[in-house]
Amino acid sequence: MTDIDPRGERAAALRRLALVYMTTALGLFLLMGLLGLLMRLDQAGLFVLPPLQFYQVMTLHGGGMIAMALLGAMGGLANALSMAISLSPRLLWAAYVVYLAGVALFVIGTLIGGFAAGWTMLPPLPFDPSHEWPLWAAVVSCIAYLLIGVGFLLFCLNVLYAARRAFGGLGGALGWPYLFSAGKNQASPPPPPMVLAATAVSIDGVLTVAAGALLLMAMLAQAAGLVGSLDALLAKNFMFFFGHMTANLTIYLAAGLVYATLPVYVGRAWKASWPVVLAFNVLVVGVILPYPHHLYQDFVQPLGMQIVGQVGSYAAGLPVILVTVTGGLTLIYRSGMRWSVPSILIAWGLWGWVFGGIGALLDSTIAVNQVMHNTLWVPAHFHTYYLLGAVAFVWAYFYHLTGELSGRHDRFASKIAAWMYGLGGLGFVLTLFLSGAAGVPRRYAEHLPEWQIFAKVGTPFVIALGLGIGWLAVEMFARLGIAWRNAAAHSA
Amino acid sequence: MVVFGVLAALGVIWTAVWVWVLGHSGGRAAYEELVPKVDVIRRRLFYLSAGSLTLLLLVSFYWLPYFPMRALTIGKPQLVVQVIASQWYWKLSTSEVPAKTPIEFVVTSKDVNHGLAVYSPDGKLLTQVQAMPGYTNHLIYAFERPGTYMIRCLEYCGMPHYVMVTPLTVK
Ligand code: HEM
Ligand SMILES: [Cu+2]
Repeated sequence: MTDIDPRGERAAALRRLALVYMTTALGLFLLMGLLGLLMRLDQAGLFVLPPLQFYQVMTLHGGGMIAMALLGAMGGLANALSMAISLSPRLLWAAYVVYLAGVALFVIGTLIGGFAAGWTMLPPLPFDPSHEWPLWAAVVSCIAYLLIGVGFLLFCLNVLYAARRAFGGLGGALGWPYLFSAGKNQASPPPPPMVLAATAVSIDGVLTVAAGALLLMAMLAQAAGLVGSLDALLAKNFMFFFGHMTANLTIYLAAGLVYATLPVYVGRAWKASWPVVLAFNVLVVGVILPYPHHLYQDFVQPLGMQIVGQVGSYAAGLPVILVTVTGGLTLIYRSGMRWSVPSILIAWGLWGWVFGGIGALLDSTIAVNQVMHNTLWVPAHFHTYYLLGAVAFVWAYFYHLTGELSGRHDRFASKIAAWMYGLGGLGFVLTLFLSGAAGVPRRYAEHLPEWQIFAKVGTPFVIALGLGIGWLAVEMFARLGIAWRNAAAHSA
Repeated sequence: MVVFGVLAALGVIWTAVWVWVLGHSGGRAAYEELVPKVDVIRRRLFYLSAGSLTLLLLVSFYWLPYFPMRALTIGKPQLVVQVIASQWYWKLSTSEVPAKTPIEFVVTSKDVNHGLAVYSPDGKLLTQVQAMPGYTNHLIYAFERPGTYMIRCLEYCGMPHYVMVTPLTVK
């Protein structure tokens, strides 16, 4: 097929697209990360962020970070996938514009409008008359989410369309001929793992955006006075289906980048084996099941849903973690791996994915959640497998890509910076886990004196993380000019 | 803190494996020979984790916080406390309850979602349930010791969320 020719125009356009997506993501990360630092300083009692501002910052940080991580993963994968399937640069540019318009609206809604209902915007809080922000700020923020959702949807549809074409149907893209022949069908080798990941994510992505859009439209209809107040329980189910899935899918999308990057540094090929194919197929259904774990403390939720939440949480993450992490470690073992920024970041990403996963599994146990729900344990686990998981994978790929395209390589200091990112992140999330175990609530604009010790200890770690990624960001940004020019000509 | 202990223990094991593999990234082993060995390890890991998770699942049901289960494990409620949450205070039908008595908290909200969380006098989070507009949740709890407990809001409900606190005296 000519349109997956790496020397072709399309591949060149996708390389440039990836650079823009990931540069935007990194820029957003640095800004949102500063907001995170401000919040943690405030919780340490070292800096006073008035509560009104704290909650605006919290809302922006949460929504902004989730959006940036997804953007970075989509961008990276759009390029990595161009080896196997042929995405449309034009459509993905459109997705980018829509997506960024959403992010910009969210900044306006929170910072100018003062919208501060938390990134989960649980109804009826956004439109509650006693709050501190005007109606327009809530409306703008809902529209912002809709646009971000549409951007993601365009990406998903593009992936599904291209994967179908390249592999003769969705079943082919999910490796069914290989899967159902128990791996014996030599005539149809499975697609590369990143295609499996992207296809599985995109199927669920469509569902997610559909659920989210339905809820957001209902919220807008309520704001316009067209319908009465939404049912609190139903709205919560929809919101967490949307929010949890979006966050979860980001992680699996980013995992696709590991499959694309790690082989280069270990000099071994990473093919989809039968368990890998099975795991991503299980994921398609599995990822839908855990979301009810956000509603364990809503005792009126039907008991069956609660149990599904716990069983689903145990079952969903396990297969992919197992195949990707054991696969990754095997790839590294006695490979003569080149220690470089991408391989260091991927190593951290594997660490955090598992450690965050353990934290998540514990908290998805109803009995444990009874005393952990809405404590800092929750941000602890998702910061772990974002910062030291999905996001680390995105930076690994970004560093790798800019390195390849610019011909510049990392220095000793770059590797130190990558280790600092990981160690800083580790210290930061440990203090969050400890706070959670001590019962410190999440989303408290001010912490009791006896709680402040956790944030105090965490602060230097956040700064180390910031210096690490700051250094790497300067290197990556400095490479962009050459990378951009070479992206058109490069042939690898 | 037990839970943190479990996290720490599993975390240490995992970190040891991770460090070991990274420490053995040098040299050259034939990848094709590694793969079948890892397949075996992976299969065992799968059975091990599936088995322990199933066990954890079943055992954990004993501590289900829902009404029928708590009525069995803690006892049938002897006393009802009505709780109405609103922005940004708690209204309890009584602010004093006896110790060692199963109490039923009947919890709802007048406006947005709130979360009722009970903290012990020494600051431990003991139990919680959501307070939802349009719904009523029933939580059973028995206080072991007399003292001044704190009820905090654990579902973000607007700017003064973090100061939505009220004491509960246990005699
Ligand atoms: C750069 C380092 C980061 C720092 C210092 C940081 C810090 C924080 C802090 C202090 C909170 C508030 C916790 C609370 O009291 O509830 C928070 C919330 C949050 N963070 Fe981060 N964070 C960082 C990175 C990230 C990343 C990479 C993501 C995701 C991609 C993320 C997503 C979130 C979300 C979703 C929330 C919840 C917001 C809400 O409750 O509405 N953060 N973060
Ligand atoms: Cu509250």
